[in-house]
Amino acid sequence: MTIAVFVFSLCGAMAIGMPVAFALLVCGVALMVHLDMFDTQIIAQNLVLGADNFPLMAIPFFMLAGEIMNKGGISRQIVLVAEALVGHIRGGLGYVAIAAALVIASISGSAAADSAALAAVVIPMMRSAGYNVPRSAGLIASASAIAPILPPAMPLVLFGVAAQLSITKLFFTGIFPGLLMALSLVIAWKLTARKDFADAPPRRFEWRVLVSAVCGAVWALILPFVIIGGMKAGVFTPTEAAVVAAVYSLLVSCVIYRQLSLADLPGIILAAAKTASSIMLIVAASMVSAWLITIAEIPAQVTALMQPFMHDKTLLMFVLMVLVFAVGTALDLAPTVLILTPVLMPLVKEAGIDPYYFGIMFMMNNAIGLITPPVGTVLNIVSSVARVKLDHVITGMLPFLLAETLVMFLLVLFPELVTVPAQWLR
Amino acid sequence: MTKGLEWMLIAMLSLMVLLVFGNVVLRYGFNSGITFSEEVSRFLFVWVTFLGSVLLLRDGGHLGVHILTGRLSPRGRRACRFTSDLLVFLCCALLTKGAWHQTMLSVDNHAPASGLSLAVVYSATLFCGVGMGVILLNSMYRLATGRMTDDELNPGDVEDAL
Amino acid sequence: ATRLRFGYEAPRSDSQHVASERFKELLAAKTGNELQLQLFPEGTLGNAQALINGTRGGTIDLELSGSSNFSGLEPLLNVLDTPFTFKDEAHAYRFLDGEGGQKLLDALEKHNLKGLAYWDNGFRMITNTKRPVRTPDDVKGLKIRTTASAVHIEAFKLLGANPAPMPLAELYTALETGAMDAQEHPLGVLWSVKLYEVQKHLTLSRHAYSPLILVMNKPKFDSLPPAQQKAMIEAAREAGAYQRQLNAQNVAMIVEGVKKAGMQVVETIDPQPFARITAPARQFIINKFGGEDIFKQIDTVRDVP
Ligand code: NA
Ligand code: NA
Repeated sequence: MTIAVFVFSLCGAMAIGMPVAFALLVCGVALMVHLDMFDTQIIAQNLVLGADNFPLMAIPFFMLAGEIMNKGGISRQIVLVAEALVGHIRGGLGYVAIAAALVIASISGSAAADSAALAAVVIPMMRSAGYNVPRSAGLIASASAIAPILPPAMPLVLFGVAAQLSITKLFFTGIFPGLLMALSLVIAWKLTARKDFADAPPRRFEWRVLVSAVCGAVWALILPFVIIGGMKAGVFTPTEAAVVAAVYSLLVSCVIYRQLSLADLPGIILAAAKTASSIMLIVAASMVSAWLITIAEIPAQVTALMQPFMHDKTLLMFVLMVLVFAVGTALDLAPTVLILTPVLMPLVKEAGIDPYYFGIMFMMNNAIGLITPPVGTVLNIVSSVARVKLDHVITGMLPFLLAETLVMFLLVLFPELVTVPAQWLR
Repeated sequence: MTKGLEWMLIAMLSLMVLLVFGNVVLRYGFNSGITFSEEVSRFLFVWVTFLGSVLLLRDGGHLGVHILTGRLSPRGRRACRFTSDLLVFLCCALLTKGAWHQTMLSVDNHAPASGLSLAVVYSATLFCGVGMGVILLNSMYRLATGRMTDDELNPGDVEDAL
Repeated sequence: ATRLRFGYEAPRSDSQHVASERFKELLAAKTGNELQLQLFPEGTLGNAQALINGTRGGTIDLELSGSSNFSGLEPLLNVLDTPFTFKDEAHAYRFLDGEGGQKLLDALEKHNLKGLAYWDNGFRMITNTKRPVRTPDDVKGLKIRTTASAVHIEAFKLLGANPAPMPLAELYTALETGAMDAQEHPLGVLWSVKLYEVQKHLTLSRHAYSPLILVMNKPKFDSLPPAQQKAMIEAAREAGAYQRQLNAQNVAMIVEGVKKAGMQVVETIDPQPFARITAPARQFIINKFGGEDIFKQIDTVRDVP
């Protein structure tokens, strides 16, 4: 009964178009009434509890870093290097997109920033080289979905805080699965897109071009090493890494590339603060419903429902992944993470599944949710930035979506592919 | 008014960057630190969250799902928007009441490192409840009197950060 | 029957949870099942500050957390955190369970909290990754995580360390990556947060005693019939005595455990030089918050058997 109140109030409020954060509050109020413990202080108290959190400060900082990198020309420099490196291969701009997505993902914490930058820079190149544009847009959308797994990653911070896990450990666990996703895209591009770029003339590889591109981008290319190396060497915590990324990209954009002036700064900071607060209000509101979920002992009820699958970890993971995938088609990453984590974590712990393994799988699933219709933020961004109809992006994207989904279920069958490399990297 | 609040938001996030980055620099460069850095930046973060949310509501920028409402007639969409605004307004009223209570309760509770009263933190939710309430009253009034254009009714796709 | 929500941050493996189970049983037995506790361990209802706030506002009925979390409300509680104030556990219990301790609990009443009993977090011990700590010199220059309590910070400044407050949730990562060298907590925390995995040296420095305070929402307490009020306080104290006993038994087990996990342990140090250097912390507290009479009361029960 309590589960029904939870699900229906939340879904009903969202169905009439109410913003997710407020739908969570409505759900909280419904649960309070249902549990006969109505008290307005519960709302205020938990909203503050949700936002009053040091690790989550990584969110506005990553926001800021992403905003600066896109406006400050850093993303463009990275694409130029990728082009000089693999642009001469047949269908090379596809590999350029994947390679650039990987580098940008290891600097930025957000898929949205990634997809906006890539679509703006790479699509025009692909269009003028005669590539199938919807296919290209689809590739870029799916390549951007790697960003939430590859450190640094805001979604992992969000999950780490909600599940009370070490964020650094989550980061290092995400590296190998992120690379696997990229590999699956390379294969899918090679197999399916062969005929699409038949007309595109292959170009010559030139050392001179590569060297000059690398020289131009060297400050941008150092950044991933600063961030990951800095965390590994213990110079800073994940939150501090985010602020370092923001300050570093500001310096590079203002002093070296000179694409930004101080007058641009207030606008950039304001945009970052607003986007961050749109996520943070959901975080805060989810704390209200999470508090009531705890009081109502819903996780125990869900565990009881899942009892038939509890004895087999692989089966349970499979069921959970299908469930999360279904939720992800209609709901964005942040709300999915925040709503499901408090419900699922007790279950995962009780079943004896490694929480870090589960976290990465959960997050990969949510990242794929960013590109599954009907609600896929990254799809919308790519479609609007690349000026391709949404339907066409979706059709173009299908092989890549399939490839990434296959990787995910491969990792359900072989958890060692996540846990073993994580041990080497940590 | 809005401009002033926007500058406040910019100042707060900038100060957060300075405090956290300053702490890293001091720790490595000078083997020292700002004792209140963690605490004060956290409090600023709470304010950024709730002040930013109010400004974002004014822009119609909060993330929502519009697959169902997108298929309705303009009339139906107006009805949904009005219901939603009304429910959000009620949430804000409850929030304001609870936030008032919590703010008053924490006046005499002081944060350990900075000595600031925790009412500073809780008043952010109070501000949020009142600020959003005002925006919603305005929006409901404009909906009811037919002053809201269809363009405004369709919230743009905000670039979700994740 | 009345159901009461009782929240705390400690995990299920901790003595706090075990004793809370006992508290629940005792209370049910003493009131003929009229008062029933609903336990929320692992911080599922929020961190210490949120729990205290919730208990003051009445969204939570009871909560248990370290005394330093209350010092923002009642600055006099800083006295308890002052280093080398208590000689040993017996000394601390003599003071806390006596008249002086009761006075401090009563001071919480004006903040809407009924202090029921002191439970036990134990003496704080220093751990670090750099070197075995035997003398104050060994502490010099360590980047050490402390609580945000003014007196903890002051004491480590006096010792020449670089104290920095940091949330417990970030501590493991900070120690693992080396952003911090050292931390100081009672053994129970070292054990349950698995900090021994990321620290090399443990010193049984016993530099400050940390009590836990079990509080209840005051209006809720006042609304109970006198017999139930009495049962509540008795059950809270008996369970507290049981928890102290559990902690005493756990010390040897934890020291053995962290040794097995590879930590080097310095079991005894001469506390005198540490106490001498940190002595000005007492005056620092008195100047800032008062409490001279409380220090006196603590000192008078120092050697009374
Ligand atoms: Na990333
Ligand atoms: Na989706």
